Amino acid sequence: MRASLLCALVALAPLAASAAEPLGRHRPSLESIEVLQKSSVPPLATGEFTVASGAAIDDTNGVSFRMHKRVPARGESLASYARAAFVTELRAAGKHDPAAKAVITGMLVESRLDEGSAALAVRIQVSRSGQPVYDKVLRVESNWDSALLGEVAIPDAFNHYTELYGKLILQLFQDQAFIVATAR
Amino acid sequence: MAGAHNKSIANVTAAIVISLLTGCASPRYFVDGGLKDVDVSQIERLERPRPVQLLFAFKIRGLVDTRTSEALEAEVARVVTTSGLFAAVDEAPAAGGAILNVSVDFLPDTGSEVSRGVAAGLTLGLVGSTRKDPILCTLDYIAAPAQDKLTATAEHAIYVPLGIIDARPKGIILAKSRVDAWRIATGQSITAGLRDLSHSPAFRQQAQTP
Repeated sequence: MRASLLCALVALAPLAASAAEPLGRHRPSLESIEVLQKSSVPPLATGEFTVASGAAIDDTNGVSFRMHKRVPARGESLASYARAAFVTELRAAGKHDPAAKAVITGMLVESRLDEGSAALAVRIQVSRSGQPVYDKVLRVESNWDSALLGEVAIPDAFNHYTELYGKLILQLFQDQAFIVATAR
Repeated sequence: MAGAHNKSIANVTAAIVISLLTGCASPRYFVDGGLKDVDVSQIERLERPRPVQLLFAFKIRGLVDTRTSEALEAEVARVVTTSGLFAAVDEAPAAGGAILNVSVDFLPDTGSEVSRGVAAGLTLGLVGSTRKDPILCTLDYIAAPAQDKLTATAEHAIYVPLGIIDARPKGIILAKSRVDAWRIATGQSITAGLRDLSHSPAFRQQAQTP
């Protein structure tokens, strides 16, 4: 009986689901820095990031894929992960100023990770001295051939998901409406 | 009694075979020996180095792996700082706007993983093979905004043996874990890239104050 149990454990150990692991801090991209440095976007502050009411997002439990889970840092949520990503990119470009008159806020509308597909949508609002100057839902999506092997598929899936934050931020920095609204 | 003992042996054997078939039987990671002799002493120092903003991303198949990047960033900052090529190294923008963008891309050869794992498993590990996972390290130095990049690259590799019979190439270094293998390979690759940059006349001109 004991031998059978041992055998079952040996055989199933590699297949067992691991505990929740951190998403990992967002990395600033050279591309975003260069886009911001070339543009007239002034230093910006970052306000509140939340989840849109009715959005099917498990804000505090992170994202799951094949029984593996990645979660934001302790005490944080996906919304605050998105905010931290914005702060990281702005700071790396020298365009983050907590006291700036122009403030970016965000509302997560979609956050999804499936087999071979991930999507992220955030409603971005910018206000200047309390007056709204920009309001748009930005959405990015990634599709790939998901591998059979978990060793390949699992990190690929989470990496595709976390890359969406950088893609969405770059999309905002390249949006002419955003550049015009913040430069006024 | 003997029957029960034989059954236990059969069960253990079956469990090991299944474990090998999954390709997850405690893999060992080895670092290629090609860059093991690269040393910070080979970097040609600058007389008047400038500060630099350090950006680092560890990638797997071209995708940034935030978790591993975070695990390795302190080591990367240490390697870049000890190179002596920069007056200060920081994540924040540097005075003068110089940027060192370090990208380490892990490109595992997992295409034939299933067939090799099954071959090793079906032969109880007798059919050994070694997977070579290349690593491409790219260093881009930008002296000031809108200035052209100066690029140096270094190629490295990690080996993962499968099966019992040793099919490993010579001169490779055993790492404690996969992350440790990445840490060693990343440090050596960056040192090699910085060494090459330090010998570039364009870099020596742009990375120093006049």
